[in-house]
Amino acid sequence: MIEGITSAARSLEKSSKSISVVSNNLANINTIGYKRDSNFYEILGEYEQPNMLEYTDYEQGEVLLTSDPLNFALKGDAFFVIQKGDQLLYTKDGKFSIDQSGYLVNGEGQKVMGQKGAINITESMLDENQNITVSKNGEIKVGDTEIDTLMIAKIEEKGVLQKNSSSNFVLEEGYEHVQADESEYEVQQGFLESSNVNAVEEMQEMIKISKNYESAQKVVQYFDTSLEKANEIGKV
Amino acid sequence: MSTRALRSAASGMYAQQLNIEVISNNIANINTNGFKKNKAEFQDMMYQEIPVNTLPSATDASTQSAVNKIQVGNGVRPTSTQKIFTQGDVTSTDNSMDLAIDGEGFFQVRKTDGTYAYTRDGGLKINSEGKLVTASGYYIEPEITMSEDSMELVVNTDGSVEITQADGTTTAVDNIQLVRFMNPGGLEAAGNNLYLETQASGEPIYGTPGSNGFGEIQQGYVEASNVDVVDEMVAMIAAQRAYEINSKTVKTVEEMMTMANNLKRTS
Repeated sequence: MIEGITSAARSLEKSSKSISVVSNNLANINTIGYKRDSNFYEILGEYEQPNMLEYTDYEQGEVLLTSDPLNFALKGDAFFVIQKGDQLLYTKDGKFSIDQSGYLVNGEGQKVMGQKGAINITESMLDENQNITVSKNGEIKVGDTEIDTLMIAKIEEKGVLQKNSSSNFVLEEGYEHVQADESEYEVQQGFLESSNVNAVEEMQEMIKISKNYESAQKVVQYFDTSLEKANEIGKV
Repeated sequence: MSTRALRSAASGMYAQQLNIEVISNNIANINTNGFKKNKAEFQDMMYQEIPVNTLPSATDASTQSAVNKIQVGNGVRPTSTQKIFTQGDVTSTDNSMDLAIDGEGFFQVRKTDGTYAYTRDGGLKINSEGKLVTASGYYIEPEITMSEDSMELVVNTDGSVEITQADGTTTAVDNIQLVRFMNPGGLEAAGNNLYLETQASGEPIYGTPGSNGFGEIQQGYVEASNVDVVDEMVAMIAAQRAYEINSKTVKTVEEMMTMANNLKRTS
């Protein structure tokens, strides 16, 4: 009997963690480049507990027009690469700007990586024309001068990607990305990829969790009543 | 039951509230000359690894099962409000004192304390000393002075200024220079349609209108704000709905907490 009450309690505990995940998804419904998280359970065996796992859904978010020449959306299964100290960050958030020393940077001021290293467009900026164009394969041009090509990373095994804040991902130690093939992605200038959170799906999930929680609560209460009865048996 | 879900939802509500404030400011400035719209930006907060299956199991077989960890986020945070420096509509006013920049660049103005500020608002006036000033009375730099005999002011697209005197002679005075920045998004909005240089914007780059990527000056026109009503309305709807859905999360979590409180019957 006591066993039953523990598994109901475990279910309560899991629901309360799942709701945190849903809540975080919904809070980030307007975050550029955000990828939703989702929980699932895995039943391991007769005596083992159902295991709660989490995965990130890398499905493409909606691509929105912003008309800013330094906004890029990346279509396809690939990531922009950002340099943070000696660590590389991977992101779908292509909202870049140019910092005071001419580097292409993300919202946090970290440098965007090109094939030749951090992308710097100072000299061309001060020259004749400053129209920045980026082709579908990520080639950056200022006027007619070719600067560099954006580094686009492909990560085969998504399991080794860890979420870092600010729509960034990091690779677990010991893993490296590969350069994505030009046919696998498309850079769109003047667009941003919005969050891939779907309000309806999350609401559905929220209702499900809430109802699960309620059922588990009922089970605990039922066991409580039964145990009470059991205690009464011995009463004089 | 942890309050993380509650905090995430609250952060979502706060972010959307800020979003509405920014949108509301854009709409309020829909008729402000040279106004550039703002956009609130958000990023997800740090992630925490939390263990699941923390409750000990009653059966022996599962006591050895590994503790599993999942990453749970802590909600959203507003990071910045980005100025969007797209061109506003250039509208004709037939007033020779109105100058619009068609393309990149800012007018440089000198504030009363001698420091410089930058503006896109070319609705200029002449003050009592005959100097060209902005609507708020700041001098255009380099200064352009009209005398008592001056009849007409002509500003060419390249910024050169000619003043026609009462006797019919035309004199060329200082040219109007434009300024641009490496990263205009980093400029600080100082109110009164003025922007200030910051470390993020970089040093001002001076140039002649119509060359080196600078826009041309159009006399008799002003640049309207670049706020688009439809865009703002759509953004407002999206923000309101996002606010609403986050409030639903708060409600759901609250209900779950009530259920947790009711686990033990009070009989």
